[in-house]
Amino acid sequence: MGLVKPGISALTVLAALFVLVGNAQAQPMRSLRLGYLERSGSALCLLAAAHGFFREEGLEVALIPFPDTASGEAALVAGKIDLGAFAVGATLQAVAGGRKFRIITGGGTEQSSGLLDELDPSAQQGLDDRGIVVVAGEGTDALDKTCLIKLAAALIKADLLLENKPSRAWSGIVGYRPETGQLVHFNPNPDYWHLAEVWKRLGLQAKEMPRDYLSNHVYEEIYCDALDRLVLAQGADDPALQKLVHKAICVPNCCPANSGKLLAIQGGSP
Amino acid sequence: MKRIISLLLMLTAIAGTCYGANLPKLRVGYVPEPAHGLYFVAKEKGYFKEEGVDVELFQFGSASEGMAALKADKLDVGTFGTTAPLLFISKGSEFTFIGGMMIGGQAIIARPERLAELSGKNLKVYKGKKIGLVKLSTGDVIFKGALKKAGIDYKKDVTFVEFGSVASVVEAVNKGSVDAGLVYPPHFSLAEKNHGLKVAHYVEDFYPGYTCCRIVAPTKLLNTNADAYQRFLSALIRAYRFYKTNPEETVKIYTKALKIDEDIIRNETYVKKVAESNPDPLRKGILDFWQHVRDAGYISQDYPIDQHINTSFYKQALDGIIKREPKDKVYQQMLAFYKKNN
Repeated sequence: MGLVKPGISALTVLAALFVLVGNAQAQPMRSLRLGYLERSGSALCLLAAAHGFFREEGLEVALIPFPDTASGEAALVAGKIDLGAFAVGATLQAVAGGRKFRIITGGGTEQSSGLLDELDPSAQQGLDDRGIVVVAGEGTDALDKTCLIKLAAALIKADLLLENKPSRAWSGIVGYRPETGQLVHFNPNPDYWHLAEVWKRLGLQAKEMPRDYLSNHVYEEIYCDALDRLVLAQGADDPALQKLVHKAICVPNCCPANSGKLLAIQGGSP
Repeated sequence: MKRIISLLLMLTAIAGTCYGANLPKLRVGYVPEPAHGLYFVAKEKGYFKEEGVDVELFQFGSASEGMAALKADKLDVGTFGTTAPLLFISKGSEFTFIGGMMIGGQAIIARPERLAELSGKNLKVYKGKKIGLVKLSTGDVIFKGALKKAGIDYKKDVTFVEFGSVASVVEAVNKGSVDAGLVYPPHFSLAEKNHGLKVAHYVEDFYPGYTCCRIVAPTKLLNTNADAYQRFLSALIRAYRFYKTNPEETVKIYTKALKIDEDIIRNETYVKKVAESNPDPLRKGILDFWQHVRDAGYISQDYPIDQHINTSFYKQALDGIIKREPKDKVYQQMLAFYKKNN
């Protein structure tokens, strides 16, 4: 036990290197600029970068910090970044104001933990509004569906790492670890129904808006496709992955033609 | 004489072309399942054109892609399961159910050595079992509905394992990582043929006449192009009659269109009758389905789905055909079925 035959080990490493080099040659990395708020709720983006999940998916992601959502979304509108991990409330306000943002995944949301908070629902509502969603900018044609699925897959992997190996996960981004007593719930699912509740509470549905105005800005299918892809690749044995599948509300795959289709996407994990 | 015949043929061809060119067009989306075959029958037998509508068929690899095309105005009507249109409608899409395509069709498969413990017609045999499924598929929703109707607390007494595709469910059953799996056609026939698995039950055994894939269209198009949709349904009603009265030719048409083993199609369609191709809207079935989706906890907010079911297109189409052929038994049966289910 514990002995590794050097020859085999070297061969294995060489084979792995060939595969990696082959993949890198076959698929050029896609460069993306991802803005984020400097707080724990953005951790999935930071983890995906620190632990190499973006690169695994064939994405070269440059992380750009912003002090607040207003400045981040201004950069998004100006085309200075491609995507951003910004606050739910402010993002929905921007969408209601006519911004053609596409909400791709969720992120971290702080949970109220004070004793008095239990008596005051508005405390959690405020935290919900400050929770993170990852949003793609308008007019960024470079962000095709395949690219967004890869991005979502990387963020799901970050969430699985956080769920399964939290110490290892946080060791890569020590400065963003929630402080003692601070609870942050992470969920890569954009969760249309949660966003719809916030949308309703903030009174953002104007009379002239079509009934599907919000859903036209929430791309749950991207998250669902990314999730499907990981399940197909990894199986459903990981309880953390199974939990994400269980919570997702996705249109079911129906047909023989679709089985394994997503595996055909080139680059990234199978 | 030859010149006269040639001239007549040419005139006929020109007239035919003009006739086809003037017909209202409908772009119809579907997924490749055997019980969706009424589209192929109506197309092959020329019923769409005879009823006065020019139909172009588009096959989709998944329900979500089909619904996205419908939403993006790339289709005028489509059949993409029941769950998919319900999810879109509940999130605000303005779609309306106008007909159906398939009733029943889901099966529970198991390894042969597990059949004995799953025998009988009592759902209690599934208590304590681990069942693989594709979440929100018709089989998932209806089987849970059947368990609830039978008084079984499935959230406590049954373990469901969710998979991303029906192929993964079959694989899990084959490997023995689940006790049984909920799958839809033609997967259980393929699982029997390719892996030696067996059908333990058809979900119909526990929940007769449940709704599967529905015909759905953008509401605004229904309002502006009502006549075309009624003609479209008239053609499907006639296709249903053909399917009921011409089994062998129907099998050939389905096989040609779907490129699935002919024996599998014959077996599922006419021998075991695991699903029925039926254009009835099944309004009550859609409402039951929505209730089961909500009971399962998939969607917390209720929505008045009934506002998105319009049975009048189908009823008027059926009435029109019965007026033409009042003594036809199949059409009379369709009328009785409509009255019971809508």
